Amino acid sequence: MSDCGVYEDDMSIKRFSDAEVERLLSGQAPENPELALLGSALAAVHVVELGEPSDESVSRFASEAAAIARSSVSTGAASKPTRRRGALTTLQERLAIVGVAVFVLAGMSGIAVAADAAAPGDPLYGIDRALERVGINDGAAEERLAEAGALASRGQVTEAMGHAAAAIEEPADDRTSAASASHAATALREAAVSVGSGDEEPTSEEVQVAVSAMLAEMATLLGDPDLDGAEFGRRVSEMARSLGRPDDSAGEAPGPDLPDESERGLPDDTGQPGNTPGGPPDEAPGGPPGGADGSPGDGPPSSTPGGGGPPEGAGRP
Amino acid sequence: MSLGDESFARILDAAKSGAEWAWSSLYREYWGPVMGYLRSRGAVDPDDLAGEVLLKIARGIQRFEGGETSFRSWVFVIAHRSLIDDRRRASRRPETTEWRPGVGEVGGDVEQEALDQLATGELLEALESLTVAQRDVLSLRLVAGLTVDQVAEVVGKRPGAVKALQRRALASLQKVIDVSGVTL
Repeated sequence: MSDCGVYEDDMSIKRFSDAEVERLLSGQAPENPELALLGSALAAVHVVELGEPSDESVSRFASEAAAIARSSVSTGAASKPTRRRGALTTLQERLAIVGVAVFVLAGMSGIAVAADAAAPGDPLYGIDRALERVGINDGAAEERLAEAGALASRGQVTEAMGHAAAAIEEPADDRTSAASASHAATALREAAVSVGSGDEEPTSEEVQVAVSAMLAEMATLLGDPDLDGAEFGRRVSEMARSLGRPDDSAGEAPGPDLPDESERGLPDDTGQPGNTPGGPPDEAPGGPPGGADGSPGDGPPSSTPGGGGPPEGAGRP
Repeated sequence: MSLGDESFARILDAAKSGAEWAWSSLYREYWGPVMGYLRSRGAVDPDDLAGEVLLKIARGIQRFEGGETSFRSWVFVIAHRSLIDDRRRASRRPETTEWRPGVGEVGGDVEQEALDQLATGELLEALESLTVAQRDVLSLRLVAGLTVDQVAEVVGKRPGAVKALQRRALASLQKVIDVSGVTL
């Protein structure tokens, strides 16, 4: 089909005056009858591509968007001065947010997570490691979380979590970050769906309140310039535990796959936060496996940075 | 395809203050074109991405000033950037830049029939022969309903370059039709 020469190409181009192009692209019949078929084809594409949203999706979006618009009226001015200090910490921050949110959701939907162990292989391990490195002060993330909190408090837990997921998908700095953020967002969204339609426990008022509080608190913490990353991590971890803690009976049930690990590389290796063979160096929860010694004591690893875990970035390619 | 300048100003004000009716109205107006554009340009999950784009609109609405024409450009600037991010995220997969008319997805038997009546295969084949930039421009004109100037703003090229791209794109399509002797 494409073996025509330059000469023929030029001939063909000549049939397309500006006016003819405009007619074709606006769905009108072309003046040149030779182009009639092209005109019909383009018009059909035009028709086929334009769908109508369902009433349900319209009202869902409208309420979410209206809440966002309202919250940006009230918080926009106040949070501006502290925004966007730098992009370096945003991936870690986002991953941490997702990690915590997934953890909370997992806890609330009845999936037991061993909160105190935080060893490699434990979802919390990766979360804690990520939280240790969290940067703070990104006003954008703060705003998103505030919005998500507003949604959750209105009972729209699924939308709230989807919204938080969207926060992670703001443009990332490079391909690696983008891919990781995308995985994280996917995980969060799946978690949100499972909470929203939970078989075991439909979204209860209790869950709504807790998720809302969690998000609001995270937003507040994110906006506190005096907290360093480790302290932030510790506070959020504690909060997550107190909010989402199931009865401590079933400590060994696996949590959901950690965000950035699903889909990466080995399909049978999911759910192992510390194990990312060949993973890119800047992925947050990807500490080498086996580094932490299980933290059997009373504190999570994040409260004792460096104690047992390998130094950040050590041994990476 | 248009809300009208006066009513747009009213809708924009209401949307900024968080009125749900205004957001319903904007959603109904823009969901189709945004979704169609993203789908036609090979977004991995166009429905999802369209939702994200519209939420980005909600987030940025306080900073937007202008009329409906510039609003439409702005919406598609965001959609186009989101699409580029989406392509980057999906870059592990083989190039997904093929034009994918939403056959059977949009619903309506009418549309389905319209498409069936055309030589769908040939049309698709023809679209495949275009460059990514040509297809971006064509979709922004045809599906998003933008003018040349608006498209230029969205893709960051000069209007003259956009005109050249669309002209060449149409010529390539017509060439396929000429060569294959497709009939309706």
